[in-house]
Amino acid sequence: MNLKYFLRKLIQSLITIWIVLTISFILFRAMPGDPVSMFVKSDGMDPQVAKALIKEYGLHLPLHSQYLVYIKEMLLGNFGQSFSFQKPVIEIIAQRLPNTIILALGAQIFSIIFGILLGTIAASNRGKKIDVLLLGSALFIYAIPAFWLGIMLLSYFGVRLSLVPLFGMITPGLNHMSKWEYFKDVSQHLILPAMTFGLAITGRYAMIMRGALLDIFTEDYMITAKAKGFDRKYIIRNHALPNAMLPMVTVIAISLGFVVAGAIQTETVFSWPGIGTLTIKALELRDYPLLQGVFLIISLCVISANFIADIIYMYIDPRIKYE
Amino acid sequence: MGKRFLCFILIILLVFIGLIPMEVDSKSNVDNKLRLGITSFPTNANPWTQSKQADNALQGRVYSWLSRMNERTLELEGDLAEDWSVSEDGLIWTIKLREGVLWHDGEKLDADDVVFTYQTLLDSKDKEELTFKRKKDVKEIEKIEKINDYTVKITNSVPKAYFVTEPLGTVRIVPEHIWGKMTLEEMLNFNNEKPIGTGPFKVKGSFNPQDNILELDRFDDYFEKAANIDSMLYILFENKDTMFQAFKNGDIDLFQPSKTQVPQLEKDEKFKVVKVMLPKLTQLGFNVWSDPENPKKQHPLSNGNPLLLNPKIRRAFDYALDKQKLVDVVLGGVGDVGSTLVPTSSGKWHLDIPHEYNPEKAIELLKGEGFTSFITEKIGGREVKVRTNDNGEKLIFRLALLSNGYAWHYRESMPFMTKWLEEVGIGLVIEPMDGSTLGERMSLEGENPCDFDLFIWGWTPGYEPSFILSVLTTDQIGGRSDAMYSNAEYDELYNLQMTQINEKERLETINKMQKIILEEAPYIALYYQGAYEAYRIDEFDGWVQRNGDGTVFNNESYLEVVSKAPIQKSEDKNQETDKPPSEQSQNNEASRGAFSNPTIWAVIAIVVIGFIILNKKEKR
Repeated sequence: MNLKYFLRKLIQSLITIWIVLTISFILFRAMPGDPVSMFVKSDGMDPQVAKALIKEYGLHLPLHSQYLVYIKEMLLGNFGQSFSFQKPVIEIIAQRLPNTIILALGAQIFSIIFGILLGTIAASNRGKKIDVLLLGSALFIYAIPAFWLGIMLLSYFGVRLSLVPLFGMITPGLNHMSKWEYFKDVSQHLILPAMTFGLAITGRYAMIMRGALLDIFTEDYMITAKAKGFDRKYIIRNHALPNAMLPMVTVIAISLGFVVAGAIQTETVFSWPGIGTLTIKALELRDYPLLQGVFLIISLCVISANFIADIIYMYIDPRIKYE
Repeated sequence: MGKRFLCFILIILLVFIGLIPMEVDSKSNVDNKLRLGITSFPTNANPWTQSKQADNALQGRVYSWLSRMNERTLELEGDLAEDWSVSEDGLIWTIKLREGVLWHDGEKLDADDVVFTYQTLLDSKDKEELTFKRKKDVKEIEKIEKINDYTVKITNSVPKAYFVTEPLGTVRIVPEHIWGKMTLEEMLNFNNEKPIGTGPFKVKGSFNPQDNILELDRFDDYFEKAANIDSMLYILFENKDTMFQAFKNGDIDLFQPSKTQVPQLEKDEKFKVVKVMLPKLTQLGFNVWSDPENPKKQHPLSNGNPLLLNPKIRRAFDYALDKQKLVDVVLGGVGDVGSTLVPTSSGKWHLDIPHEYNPEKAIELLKGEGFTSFITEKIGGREVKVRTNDNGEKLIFRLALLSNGYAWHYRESMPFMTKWLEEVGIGLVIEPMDGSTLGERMSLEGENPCDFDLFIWGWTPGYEPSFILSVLTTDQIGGRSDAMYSNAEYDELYNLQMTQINEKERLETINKMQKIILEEAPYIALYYQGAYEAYRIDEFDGWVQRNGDGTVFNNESYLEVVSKAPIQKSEDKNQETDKPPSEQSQNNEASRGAFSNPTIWAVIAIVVIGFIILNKKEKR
């Protein structure tokens, strides 16, 4: 029964991926402008050379044959050659993806800890000053655009206090003697971007956590627990929190999928060499194969995160039975 | 659980403290490395294929040419060539090479390398599929021969006026011992991760276009005096504000600030801000695609406004614009008022005819063409009075406004231009789009060929004027031309100046061409914009600004710039840590320990107090 459910979800995910592939193909070609016209104008390329390049890239073929080639290559796992980097797309993404994952993980750990903590504090002090304060600041931080928050954090912690490096992933010009030194250098560079990215999600997690807890507080079993004479803290810890984790897991799983895409602003502010900055570059250069590759990776992340959330939900919530 | 949770938080805080740098080691003067902030990273290390401007950061340092421009005098001088001479008919060039030049891998450079480089281009000339970037530069060359190990002879089919600039100054010489083993196709596809050249810097490790840091080490055996700095680093910033903060913080030594960042930097004695007149032209261009059989009429395929084929209407635009105001307000004074096609940065090649701002004259011209009455039209939600003639033709045009980052000054100029043009009775419909989209609108093929009226765009020509002059020749329609301008006289003059070896005669021809463009106005030069550059004078000395008000981002700067701090030689750099701490902190104020920072102490205090309180509770 569970296997059936699993398979159904899997097939749904695969169909979604195919639709994403097709849409991204159509979308990027419907976009006005082509990669070669850019070269002619901004870099003074010889128009003859430009024409030869269009042929080389296969852009002179009719759309439907481009599509067939595209699907065939995708099935073979060949994402094509990037126009601008002259390298296989898969190699480029493979180099960038880990950087984004490091950033996303740092941000997620930060925001899960603080989000749950703040949400719990706010909920257990409902209506009091601290609740208003926490809720207000959570909303505020959630609403702040990441690029602005990033610049503010950067100019305070980086420039004024000189505590942390401002940009990039490693210190330029530093020769890393050992793996540990490299790890330390990257970790230092991670602090600000992870904080910036994490703060925004923290606000959201805190609000969801608070909402979930408040719902649970009205449940009958909470009153029962109270009637049994348990300590308030004990009730929150052992009765409310585990139940409130249910919606949190879904939100966290889904947002894990989106972080790869959502890191664009943060990566830009801190010049973090991840998927976000790569996407912008590919878009500017009309690098179709790279764009398709990046979009596929982003969609894969979102789709698989949803898939995983569905599966986890099945286990975590014994009340729900699937046919 | 609450306690465990608090413990957890405290531990995380401790870890964060552990990660905080004990010494900010990114400060530059300790290690004698020059750090440049850039916004566009090189993508290509292969000197044969199409290079973006950003690629020069790498290729311009690593490779050498036969000739180069002296940054101080703007005169051409020998790079790998020691001397050259040309036969009286201007066809045969004899080039004497420097002796004792070494490649980065230790091999010797000789005439074979030069012959190999040029022969490769000559071999690719007739093959369309071979996309060698510089093959158009050798169009006039018939053959190249080796006379002896350090002399080559080049025979041209026609004399070429700027032969020393192009190809001698544009074709990068590559080593035969590396490229000679490849076929022409392989050469184009080779990604050249470890480029070997003869230039003053060599790539450290291997080049990866996806990195955001590129380090170039000094080449100690450079054929002239080697650089003073140990290495130079190009550091990519995706965000200009971050770059600004990094510069203030001392993480980079040189960058291009935006005009709003300049006032803050000018206040600081550590920095110097210079105005740079880059060789850039910003023009208002018109769609003037005409029928080759009947030049007065619009091309049957064109989707532009046919009124713009009338040079008098185009000229009216020119008179209506107060370009000085654009330079003052939009560019913040960093630039020159535009008039002729060749920008001021081309020095003697620029024809100086001051711009005339005269709305009365513009109105007169428009009236003279029959546009005497007015009609009120709704443009962008506003009511605008535009001129119309007896045929009911209205002076309303679409203007393509670019959304790209580099086009910020186009967008800031727009409100001014709209106002001035409306004052003489011309209405503008603004169509925002990005450069790639406009490029496609200009295509002569497809469903809607040549679908635009006017646009603002720019060129970055070099000092040599032939490139910018070529943009408006007839044979560039469908190629580089974005105005689709065609004028037989102009084309003839263009071909003539190509062959005029006498500089005076050539200048006269080029001046004539510039006059034609000014009067016919397929392009209206709005301004020749410059930029700001900021660099540190507390850490480095010896900056070279190219000819008065040029860029400091140039080879001579990188060769001559010298660190002000006492430089430790590279061999005892490892012993740096042996020095007493007092000396180190004297060396560099920025390398102060993080423990001198009160915030750190505060955080540590909170953690310690936190642990004490937690422990106490447990005892209770």
